[in-house]
Amino acid sequence: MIELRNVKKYFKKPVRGKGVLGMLKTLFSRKYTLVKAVDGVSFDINDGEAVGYIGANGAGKSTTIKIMSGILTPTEGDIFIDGQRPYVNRERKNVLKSIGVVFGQKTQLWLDLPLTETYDLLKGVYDIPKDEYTKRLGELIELLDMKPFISAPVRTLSLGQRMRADLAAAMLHNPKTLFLDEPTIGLDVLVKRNLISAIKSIRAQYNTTLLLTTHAMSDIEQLCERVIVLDNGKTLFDGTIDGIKHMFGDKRNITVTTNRPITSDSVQTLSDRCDVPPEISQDGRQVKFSVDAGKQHVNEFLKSVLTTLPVEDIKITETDIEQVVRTIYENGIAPPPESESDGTGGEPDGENDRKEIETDGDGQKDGKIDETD
Amino acid sequence: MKPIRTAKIYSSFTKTNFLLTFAYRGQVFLWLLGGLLTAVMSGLLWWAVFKFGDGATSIAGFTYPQMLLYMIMSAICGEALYCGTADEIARDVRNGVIGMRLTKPISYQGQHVAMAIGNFGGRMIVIGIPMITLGTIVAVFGFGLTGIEWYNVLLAVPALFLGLLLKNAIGFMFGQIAFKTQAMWGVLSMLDVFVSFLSGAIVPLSLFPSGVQTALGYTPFPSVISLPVRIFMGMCTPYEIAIGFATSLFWIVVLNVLGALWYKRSVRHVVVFGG
Repeated sequence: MIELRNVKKYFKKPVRGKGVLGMLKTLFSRKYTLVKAVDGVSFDINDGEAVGYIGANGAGKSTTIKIMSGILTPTEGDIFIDGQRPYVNRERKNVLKSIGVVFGQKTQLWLDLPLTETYDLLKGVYDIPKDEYTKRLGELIELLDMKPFISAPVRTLSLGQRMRADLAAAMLHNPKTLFLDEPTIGLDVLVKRNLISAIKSIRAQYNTTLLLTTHAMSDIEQLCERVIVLDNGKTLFDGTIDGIKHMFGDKRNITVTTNRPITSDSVQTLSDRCDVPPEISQDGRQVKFSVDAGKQHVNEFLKSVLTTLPVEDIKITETDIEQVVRTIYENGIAPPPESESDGTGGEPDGENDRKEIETDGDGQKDGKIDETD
Repeated sequence: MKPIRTAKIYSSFTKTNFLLTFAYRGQVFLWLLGGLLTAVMSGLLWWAVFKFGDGATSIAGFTYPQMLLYMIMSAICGEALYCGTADEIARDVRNGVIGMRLTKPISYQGQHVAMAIGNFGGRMIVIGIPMITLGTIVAVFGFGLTGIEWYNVLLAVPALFLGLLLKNAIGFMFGQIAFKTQAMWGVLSMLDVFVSFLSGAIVPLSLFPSGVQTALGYTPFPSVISLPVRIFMGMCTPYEIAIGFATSLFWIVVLNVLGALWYKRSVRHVVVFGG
């Protein structure tokens, strides 16, 4: 089980001046900006659960994963993985043995060696018994289709092959928990589909707890039951995939194509039943309605459309998660009171919470705040 | 059983780095060429010093054949003992690979010791043993060098190994600077020149003023190159060998402890944002 309790991670960055003079001043300046990368995040993840951890660039996702995987120490708060803290020296080893980590933009493989040598090395690192190692490596080679390149030097692998190899490296010691930080970044559609299906199979086979960060919402929909949205270092939403989809209501987007141009007057009666005014295309032959299925019957609305407008074609789509997440990134969360969202979010502070606070270096006496160079 | 298991874990890194030394043919060829060129140029330089000096048969206790073998040995040992620890730490920090290393349930410092041993083993096989053998044959049969004894050759092996551990410990300490600055090229070049000069890789330490020699005796540097080469050439008394080994061991412990403490502070500077 993973438990995060009010985790904060602040960094101090020196304030750099512009131009040659500014850079020279930096050499003697003690001014810093305080960056709140993670600012009071709390959540629990149960064994075997698959959670999508999403947020815009710089929201604090990777920093959280780095704290959970023992790379960084939190400034405040606690993280427990099966009761142990990854950043405490005497507990660290046990945690690291029970987790596997894949960073999409970094590799843990030895570039100049054949893949098998890296796996042999990891066998030693995790002290995996020989029989278990052979069995598991065989399974992973099969599952991730690595036979064609298992003896090739890592440097010669394509990105898709390298990512599969990295996933196998992270799973070799059968970790209870797997952290995947943008594992599908840069992969083509086919490779991505295969990788996702391999991760699904691995989860099904080993009941691995999964925490996935990605910008591809389809990955989250396919792999996770739950999603946590992070923004400016704070949790905005923590709930089910359905919950986030419907957090702004159970919306249906209805696009109606008409056989002759229409005006805004002709959709006036329909417009009153929508949350937002309908959008009419420039040529007047297409109109888009957004209807909350929780407030009215969609079939009734469609009947009205058919009787009011000279309909040629109708297309209905549900609000997809991508759309919702885009709205959250842009505007934060402001759910209508009757929304059935089980989110835990609230209004964002308005200002950027990951704001950079200027300090003169003496202002921050807390030794835990890390300095960047 | 724990020490055996620990040794087994770290031996994987030794094996990996041992294999890495054979990964590229061109690289092996360049090491050989580098060692050979340094040895030949130093040999010629000292030949000119002896020839155009005022007829002296020995300089700072070295005859020309001794000086020739010393320079060959120090050039080859310099290549064999090349320890990329500081460079690797700098690369790990710059490329963000340090994060991946920190997710492994083993010591980063231990990894580097194991990797340095593997690297040393590979380099000794590829260039160390063949070139030292060749240099000795040239010095003994070409220039009439005497005094090479089998027991000194055997004693030089642990001395070289201690030299490697010292170089690794120095490299690990200075590699920590990479956590503070990206300008590691200058730091590493300075470190290389500094260690080479003070360890006797550029000129024998007996050429230094006696006060400096005495002061250097208390530092770890002579144990890196000067001590193993002089042991090999039979230029050390048993007492000097014993003192040399004791000094090496003392500094290996001190530098590794200091390195571990500094590393503990350094990892707090791993503050990479995002991916």
